[in-house]
Amino acid sequence: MDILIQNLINALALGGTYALLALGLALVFSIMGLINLAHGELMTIGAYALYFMILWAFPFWLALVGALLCAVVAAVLMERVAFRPVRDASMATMLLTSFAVSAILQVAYQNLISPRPLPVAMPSFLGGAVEIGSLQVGMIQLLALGCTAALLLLLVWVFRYTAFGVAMRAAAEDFDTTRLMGIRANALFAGAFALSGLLAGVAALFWVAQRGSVDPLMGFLPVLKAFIAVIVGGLGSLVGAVAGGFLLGAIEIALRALLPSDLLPYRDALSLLLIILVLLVRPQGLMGRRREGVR
Amino acid sequence: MLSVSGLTVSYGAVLALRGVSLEVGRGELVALLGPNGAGKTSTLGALMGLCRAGGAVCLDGEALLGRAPEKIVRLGMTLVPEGRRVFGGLTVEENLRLGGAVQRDEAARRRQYAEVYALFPVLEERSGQLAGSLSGGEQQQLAIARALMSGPRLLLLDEPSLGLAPKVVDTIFGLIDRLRASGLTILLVEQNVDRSLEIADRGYVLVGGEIVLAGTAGELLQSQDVQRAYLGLAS
Ligand SMILES: Nc1ncnc2c1ncn2[C@@H]1O[C@H](COP(=O)(O)OP(=O)(O)OP(=O)(O)O)[C@@H](O)[C@H]1O
Ligand SMILES: [Mg+2]
Repeated sequence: MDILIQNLINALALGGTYALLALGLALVFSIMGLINLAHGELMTIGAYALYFMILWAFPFWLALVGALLCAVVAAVLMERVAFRPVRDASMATMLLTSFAVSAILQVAYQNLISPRPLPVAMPSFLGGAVEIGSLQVGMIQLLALGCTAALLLLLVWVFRYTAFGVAMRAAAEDFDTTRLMGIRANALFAGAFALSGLLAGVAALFWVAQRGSVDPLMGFLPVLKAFIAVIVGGLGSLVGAVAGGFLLGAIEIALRALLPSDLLPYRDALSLLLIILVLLVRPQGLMGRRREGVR
Repeated sequence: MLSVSGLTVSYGAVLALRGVSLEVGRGELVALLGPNGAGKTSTLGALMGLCRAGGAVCLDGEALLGRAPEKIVRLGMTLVPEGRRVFGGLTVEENLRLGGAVQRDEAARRRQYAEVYALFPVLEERSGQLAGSLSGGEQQQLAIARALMSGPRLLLLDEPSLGLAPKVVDTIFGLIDRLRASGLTILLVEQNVDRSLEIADRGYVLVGGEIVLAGTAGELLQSQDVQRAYLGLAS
């Protein structure tokens, strides 16, 4: 029983991180038609910002805020500098542009900061565990879980009740018609990127807190998983992306817990196999619309 | 109010509009008629800044070509797009709220809601429902109501009767007639020639990207050429 709850918490914490990343990817994709391969580099920027601010002895809370802010600003700049000029171009052009941005940033991190992982000195209380009854829950997992839940609730509120949120949902559904409502295209792009940057920043904090280090390629793996989550959830569906993230987290943790130890090295392959099965049953993804096209 | 001259639109090598000129006067209801693929939607797209175009478009002396759709809406011209294009995953109320996004003044927005709900009572009944769950006729009403929320001086309608049952078409045309009676200027794109000319002041017939006929609604209704234009015998 305890093991089950322990694994459930792990699954929700990991799935929540994937969900945040996937939501950012889905938002940008559904509004701009851009598959942002440089999303992981936004995570990495946030993580480096955290590293340096802790190194320069800023208070921890300020370092957290700084890291988030840095990811948001980087995302908005990325849209402004790299993606806006190609926004009317074909999907392939945009994809290649994002690939280039990703490669440039990775090389920049390697040459300007360090090619090796840098240890991030997280405060010691994060390493601890909390006892709930007979249960030992890692502090980081607990915080990740709580923060993700709070953030998702906040986003539900924003998407439902604020003018910004309603416009974002509309634009994700039908971009041109949203412009016909008098809503500025540039504001929509900037908003989508700012939000996706914020989500990548939060995910970066959880990722670094668990691993204790940051390296130039740090964003690759989690964002790859987030892409899978977006596809499983249904390309273009925001709720689907979140659901896909949690599903992927659950599958990974379940495999880690259930597989005999000699099969453990194959767990990523097995989780992808399960994903393929999901897609065989529902090719449009969990929440995908069966309509043709995305716009 | 609206004056269009020499409007051209091309998609790659295909010339969809070959110099369309038309006028819409204040308070008029003008019909733009034409068969499938004539270039009606392209004309409206060019007016709204949705597709790149050549020529000149003036709204009350303000040049529109090259401006973004969001800017043109703010200048007082709004489009009800072909196929309705309501936001299916949003509620009726949210659709309307988006339509009124350009209204900065809260009092004006309230007035606009009241006006729209008075005109479309069914939308008030269904305000909390997802727009995607409405019937075709209700969605068309929502699309028109949403466009009215921005308080336009000139309303562009792209085939509002498309795919609707005859009785629903009656309702929609009745509504358009009422809007005109309330003083709104309207450019109505339609394939339903007779119904459109019944309520229109004037009309243009567009075939193959060119205006082949223009006149008052009465003249066009009498004219054999309109029927011929549709059969592709004209020009
Ligand atoms: N996005 C596009 N790419 C290429 N060609 C297009 C595009 N949109 C329209 N066309 C072509 O331009 C011409 C005019 O199309 P348009 O949609 O303006 O006609 P329409 O009068 O609105 O027709 P319908 O009554 O079917 O709505 C057609 O020949 C069409 O095939
Ligand atoms: Mg058309």
